[in-house]
Amino acid sequence: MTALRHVGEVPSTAAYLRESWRYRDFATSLARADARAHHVDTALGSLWQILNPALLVGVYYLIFGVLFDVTRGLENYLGFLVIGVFMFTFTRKSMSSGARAILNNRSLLQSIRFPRVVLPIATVLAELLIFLPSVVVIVAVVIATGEPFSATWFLLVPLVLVQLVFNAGLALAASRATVRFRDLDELLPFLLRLWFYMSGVLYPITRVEDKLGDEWRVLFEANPANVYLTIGRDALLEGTTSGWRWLVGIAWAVGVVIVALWFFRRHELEYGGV
Amino acid sequence: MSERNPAVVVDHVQVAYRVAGRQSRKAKKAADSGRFVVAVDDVSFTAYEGQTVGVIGRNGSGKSSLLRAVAGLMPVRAGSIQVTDFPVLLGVGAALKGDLTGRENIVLGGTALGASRKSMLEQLDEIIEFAGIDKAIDRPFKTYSSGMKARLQFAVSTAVQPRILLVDEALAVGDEEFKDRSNERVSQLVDGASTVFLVSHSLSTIKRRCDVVLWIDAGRQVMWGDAGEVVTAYREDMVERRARRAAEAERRAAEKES
Repeated sequence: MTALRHVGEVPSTAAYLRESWRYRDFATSLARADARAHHVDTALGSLWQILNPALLVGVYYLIFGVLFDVTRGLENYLGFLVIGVFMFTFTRKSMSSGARAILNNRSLLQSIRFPRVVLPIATVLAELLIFLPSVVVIVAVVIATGEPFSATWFLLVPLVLVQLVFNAGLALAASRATVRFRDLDELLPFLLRLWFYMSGVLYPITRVEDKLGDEWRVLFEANPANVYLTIGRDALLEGTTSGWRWLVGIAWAVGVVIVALWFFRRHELEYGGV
Repeated sequence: MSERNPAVVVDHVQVAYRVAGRQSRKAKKAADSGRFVVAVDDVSFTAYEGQTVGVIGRNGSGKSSLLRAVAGLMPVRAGSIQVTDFPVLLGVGAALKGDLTGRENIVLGGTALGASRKSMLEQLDEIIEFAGIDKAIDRPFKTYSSGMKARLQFAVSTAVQPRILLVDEALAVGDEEFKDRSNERVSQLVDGASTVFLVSHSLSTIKRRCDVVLWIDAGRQVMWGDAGEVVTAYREDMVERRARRAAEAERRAAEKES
């Protein structure tokens, strides 16, 4: 006789992760679908996924590089900007599409049972698929702007992985939070915009730190977005890398994903009733 | 296999929907009851392996909500539901996406049910043929006619065989010919599953297919027991209600005249 178990029982973390792993094909199918679905009706199609941040880089370059000239002390502002904008976009979009992962799939949640964590994970994987061509663009711009090749360029691979884990944590937390507080979906773009300006995407964050004084320095240096951007810029533009930045970056990714998973799972069954 | 092994044990279950967003002051005053709409209240029964369970009741009586709770799609607000294996609600709809081709949708829909990509690719031709989609299978799903959509959705959602199967009514879709085929498919799944829940308005279907029947009204359990007995009692109740309604209408008409 097979043992009975409670439908609403919260499985152990190990059992839950095992169960989620069983649905990995669903996560990847959904991610592929999402990644492609974005621009199917436009003439340029998926090209927009690169064009969009690239045009943004153009606008920022015009305003901050030419008109306001914040490039003081920056040898390769275009490279600096491309790495910053593309990498930040990866995190920003993971969080904003993650925020709608549960809300956008209500009919699915009401008809099929599967580990709900699959939905935000799929959105992050979709953003990864969209981001990968951007990595090629980043490297192309770095080469075109005359940077000499360095072995540190390969650090881009683990960097994207760490950032992916961090983004997954943000997506999990955001998808859970918007179910409870719908208004967050409206508020999120502004929070992300604020984060964008605080993360040294457009100019070195040291400018802000110098202005505010030393007691603020730690806060800005520990900002995960700034940590990832700086690792990327050091590796591609300077040919260097900093061990403690990697430590902070990995600690953020692991910490956020653990807390977010706990937060996400607490009321997993309720997602079908939203 | 003994027939007396419990497969689904439902114990004093209450299912309620949360009402989101701003509410009127009156609803707020009622506090708890204002934030929830109770759909199923105090329902208890045990279904055994090998049984087919019918669920009957008027529209809005809570049949679908009960099935959703058993399927683990909704939390229970009180009581408990125990199962030997996760029940699968046979649904029309769900995972398919408009921008994907029919072929891609088959893989997406099947993996959503827990199948592997590999097994869906193996079943691909069979599903396409069953749905009768033909050349359109490589066109985006949103370009399909509503009949084609319904057929593909049905074919995908019945591609995986569960042990505990929940069937909500009105599953037969498409034209007469496809209805026959889909009914046949449901029968196959029912035969393959060890325990089946069947929601239907067709009392003859319930009587023919089910061993036991649950009758609920306004979310409350009216009767649970042998299919023939419960269906007979339900029929009598329907006749009674009809007579009462007729009497009421007559009384009103008489009042108006006087």
